[in-house]
Amino acid sequence: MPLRPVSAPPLAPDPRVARAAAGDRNSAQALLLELLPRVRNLVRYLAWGDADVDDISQLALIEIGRSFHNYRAEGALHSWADRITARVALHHIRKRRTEERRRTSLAPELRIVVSSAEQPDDYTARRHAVQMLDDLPDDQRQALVMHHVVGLSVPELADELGIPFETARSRLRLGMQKLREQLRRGGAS
Amino acid sequence: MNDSEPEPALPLPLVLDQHAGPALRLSRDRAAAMVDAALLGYDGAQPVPPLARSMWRQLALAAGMVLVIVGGAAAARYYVAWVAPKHDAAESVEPRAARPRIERARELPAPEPIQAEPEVLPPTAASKPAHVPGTERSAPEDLLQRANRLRAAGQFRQGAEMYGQVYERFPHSTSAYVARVAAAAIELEHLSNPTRARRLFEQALREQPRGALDLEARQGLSTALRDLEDRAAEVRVLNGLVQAHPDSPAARRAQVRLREIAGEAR
Repeated sequence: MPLRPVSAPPLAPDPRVARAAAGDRNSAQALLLELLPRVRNLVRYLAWGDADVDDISQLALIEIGRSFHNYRAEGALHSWADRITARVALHHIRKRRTEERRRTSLAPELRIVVSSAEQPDDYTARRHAVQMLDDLPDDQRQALVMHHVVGLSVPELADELGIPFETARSRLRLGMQKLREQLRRGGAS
Repeated sequence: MNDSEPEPALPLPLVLDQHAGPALRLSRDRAAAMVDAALLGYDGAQPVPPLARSMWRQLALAAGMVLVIVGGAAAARYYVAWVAPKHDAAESVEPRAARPRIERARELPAPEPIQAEPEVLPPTAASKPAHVPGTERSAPEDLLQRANRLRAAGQFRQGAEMYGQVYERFPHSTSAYVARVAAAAIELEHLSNPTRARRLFEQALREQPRGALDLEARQGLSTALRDLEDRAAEVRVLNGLVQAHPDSPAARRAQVRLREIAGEAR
């Protein structure tokens, strides 16, 4: 399967960020609306199933809105927002892990619903790919997404996850192995 | 592999951009509602949110009080153990009876009153639980699993029927509660039947008022009521949701919706 570009072209510096930081609600609203699809996609890569995507995305939006004043335009706005989103998502996932297990065992049917109306297209391919991630252990999945999707280096990844460098690399290697095995077996279960 | 060696490329196309996927598609209305909810009380730069600042102040105060109390208790204990016996060695000291520790469990507010509905729903063509041969001796969990698979395969009508089997045949099981919420979600989202969804959500909430799927049931019920344009009931359910799950993102969305309704009423 060909490797596709991991991220979209960077956005130009946006004057709305300064206005949003100064309290202009309209600017904040416009920026968050633009960022929302990407935020949701990243959350879905990090979180198992669809059930919590909107809740976690909303928490990420709140944090992004609160942090506009911290944006220094040293990188693309969406990359900055990615970091915030990933941090919020990982925190939320860890916090709710126990509850998740309970809810999952009780009501798995409320978690993944794929519309039968979808045609095989980009959207379907992405859904298929993320369902393969759903079969990985959380730790390996998060390492893969933070490295290959968010674009963190392995030292940054280790720092972000609070784990030793070698552990980070081992999670990447094991996650990759499992993905390859799944692909050999013919995709998501 | 040394430290500078790049990690091998992923064998999967994990694309991150603003287009649809891998997150489920989202309507514009819902996106706008999410952003509005995130901006509730927005006033721009908030290095430390006022709530957090006051929370830290309260925590510091509480920590100080704990220190004072612990210090006092230690001093008293020292006095009782070492000083008092020296002053009054002959006097026996009755062991103090342990005081019962009273713990007050955190209680969720009771769900808003829901009008009594007949427990058995009138069957409809779309959702009448169908008799499935070979399910006579199935445990509710097995039926639930089958229903889950039907739903996951996009066979929503059959899935709703199978969930119906669960709550009809095992009405007092935990599976029945789960099945009602799941069937209600299908009726609402895929079979365009908010009336039936409402009844099932209400039954589930009555059956387990603080059940594990309480938030889902309340959210679903409010959406069904919105579709049915029953504003008064929707407001009651939304207020109940905000009370019962104040820290959830769903509560923020509920607050936004309550404001919308208040705006419509003006």
